[in-house]
Amino acid sequence: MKTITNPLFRECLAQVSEKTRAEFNLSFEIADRIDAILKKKGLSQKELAIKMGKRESEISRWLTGRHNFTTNTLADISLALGEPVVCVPSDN
Amino acid sequence: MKTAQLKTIEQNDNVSLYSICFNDNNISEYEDFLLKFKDNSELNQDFQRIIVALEKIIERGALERFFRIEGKMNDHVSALSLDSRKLRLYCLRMSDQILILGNGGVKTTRTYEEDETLSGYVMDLQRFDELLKQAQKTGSITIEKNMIVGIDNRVFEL
Repeated sequence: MKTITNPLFRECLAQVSEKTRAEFNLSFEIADRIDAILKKKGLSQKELAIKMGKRESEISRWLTGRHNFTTNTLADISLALGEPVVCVPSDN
Repeated sequence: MKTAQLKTIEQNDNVSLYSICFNDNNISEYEDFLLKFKDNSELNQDFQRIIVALEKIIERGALERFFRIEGKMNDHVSALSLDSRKLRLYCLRMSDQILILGNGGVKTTRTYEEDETLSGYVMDLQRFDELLKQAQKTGSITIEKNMIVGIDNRVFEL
């Protein structure tokens, strides 16, 4: 199949700052991780919402990959899922 | 009468992104969105996040969880939006592999229906969605994996 790219879109992409890209990649990877744990455990977004006392719409916002997570929320999600969502490398 | 054609924006083995050109205009709705916001310093961060989200969609597919449902239960209208921010891009998510990008803007009202411009973008997509469904029924267009076949030079009347 022929690959098609749009010059204007590519021009806009080239202007994306390193900071925005780094921030976006992090939230995207966290969303991927939550989605993977949900699938592995056979849990639906609704079930996670009930477990956490949240609305289902909030869980779906997290899974868009564009949510700005707080450490508080990440801790809550990890506890509800029974697995760490993020791992910070330790120097010790 | 308003006419519309589909323009291929990006295509690879995984996914195709299309947009709509109205009334013989070469600039698609999505390109119009890019031109409107690419130099807007106030909305620059939001705009860049939407652009990067589209880059991820090109890599990974138009997965349902990347979108917020904006239209009605029986249409494919979704939005790429950002938490607590106002800029959004409307689109038709046909499948994980086919996305039709519409126009977008800043949502300052509680719902898009209260904003004439934004509701116009959503209604255009809803109407186009209906036309695509009809064309699929008659077999004049078909959806094959990551492509809509039969759209070359096809003019839709809205």
